[in-house]
Amino acid sequence: MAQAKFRFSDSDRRKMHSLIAQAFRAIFLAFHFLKLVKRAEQGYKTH
Amino acid sequence: MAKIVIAGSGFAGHYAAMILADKLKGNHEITVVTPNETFNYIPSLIWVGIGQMPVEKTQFKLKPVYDKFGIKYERAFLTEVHPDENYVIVESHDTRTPKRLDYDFLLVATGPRLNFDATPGLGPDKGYTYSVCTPPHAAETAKAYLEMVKRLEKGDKLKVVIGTGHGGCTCQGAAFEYITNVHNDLVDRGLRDRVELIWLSNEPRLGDFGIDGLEAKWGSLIFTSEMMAEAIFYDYGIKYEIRSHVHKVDDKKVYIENVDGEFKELEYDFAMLLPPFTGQPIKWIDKNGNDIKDKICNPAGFVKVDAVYGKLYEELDGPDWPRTYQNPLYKNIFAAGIAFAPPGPLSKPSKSPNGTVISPAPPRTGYTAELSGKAAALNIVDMIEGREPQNTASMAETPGLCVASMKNGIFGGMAGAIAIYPVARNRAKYPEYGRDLDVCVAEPGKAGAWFKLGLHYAFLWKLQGKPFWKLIP
Repeated sequence: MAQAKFRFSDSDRRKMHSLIAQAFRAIFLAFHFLKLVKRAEQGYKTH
Repeated sequence: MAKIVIAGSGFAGHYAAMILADKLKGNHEITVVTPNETFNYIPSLIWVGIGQMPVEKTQFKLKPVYDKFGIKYERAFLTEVHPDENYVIVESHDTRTPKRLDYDFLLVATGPRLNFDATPGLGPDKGYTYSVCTPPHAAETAKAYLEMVKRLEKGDKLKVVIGTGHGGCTCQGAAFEYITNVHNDLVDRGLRDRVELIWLSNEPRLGDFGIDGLEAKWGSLIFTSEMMAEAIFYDYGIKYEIRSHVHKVDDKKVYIENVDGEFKELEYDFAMLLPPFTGQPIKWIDKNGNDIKDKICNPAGFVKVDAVYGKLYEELDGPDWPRTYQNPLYKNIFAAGIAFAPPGPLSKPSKSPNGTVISPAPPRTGYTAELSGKAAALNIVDMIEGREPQNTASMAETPGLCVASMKNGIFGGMAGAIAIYPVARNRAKYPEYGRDLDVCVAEPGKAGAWFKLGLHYAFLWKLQGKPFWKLIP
């Protein structure tokens, strides 16, 4: 049975769990996801 | 007045019905045929499966929504399609009475049949394992899981196997969410050290998720979903067996074969293994009474659409994926969501030296299903208004937006926010990776957990047609 090789660093883990850092990431991700939704809807021509 | 029949009320069928009702403004007849009384928000069933969310919170009744939109609702199973004569036979959910429904346009969005029979001993009905694919399954899984928790509290040490129950499974992401939520729930209960947690999957590599994995830029690093899954499994102490097919399950062991041809037996006390999917058992009959299912559907029973079928995995590329979701033989028939036949797998298929095929099927659920359902609905509008179908939502041109929950909660939650563009690698457009790495994201953190919870409420709001529903993507 295998064991995983790649590891998160302590700094990665701190960032993942930090409320403030994650609040900024949430804002970035919200806009990023919306940008991709716009791309998805480029195929719809009937309005 | 055109008659439109939509078979299915999941992400693709239900959303397509809403789009059609909104576009056609009551001038045409829309009928949804579904055995379900409720819409089921499947992505949250992973929380139901560990007893953290009541199943009712993932559902709403369909009839009030359809009444509001002027959509006819037949609580029935689609059993036959007669495409030459433009009618379907449906069987009432309650009385099993057959009924004929004529159509001008048919959208097949029936979702999958859960093929537990493919692996002896698999599944909660005839087997020994559990599933989180349907609300009743998830509720039953929660019951068994909480009974296991009681055993752990008494001091038992147990083995838990979670993953896929066949070499041809899809939706590995759902199983990944379940195993990580189980881990975190057991940590919170102080019981994690009494459990050996094992991930069992048909993926060619960890973090493949049936989509051939993903790559994203992380500073100067190309961060992959394989690295993300490896790091999470290391942190969580989860062992894994991948590239594996399950031959059978009995009450104590899961019998697997991996791609190297090695046969192994995994002991377990609790197992949640997803089944492979097939198309729904629908008869396709021509005007002479002949069975024409093999012309309309692929061997798994999914409906063929405007894809390029028959290519080898190595030859398959973005332009081969369907765009309009229109059946090539019967232009007034469309298929969306899991019900459409993909041109091939996204993940690399493999075969063991003994000839066992281990090939994850491509997922086309959730947002991807919605996109295909909307494209099909708008193309039906085009045809009603005398135009050729011009709306596209190819998986090689649209993104996959996914949030893989690892723990629910606002302050303590954790999830992987995943964005891939496009879902199906398109080397004709992006020669190096087949995807636009500038917009791909694979990022674990609390932000993902907030998204996952937000999506739960946003989708349920939108799909009930509540105020401003059209503003929610």
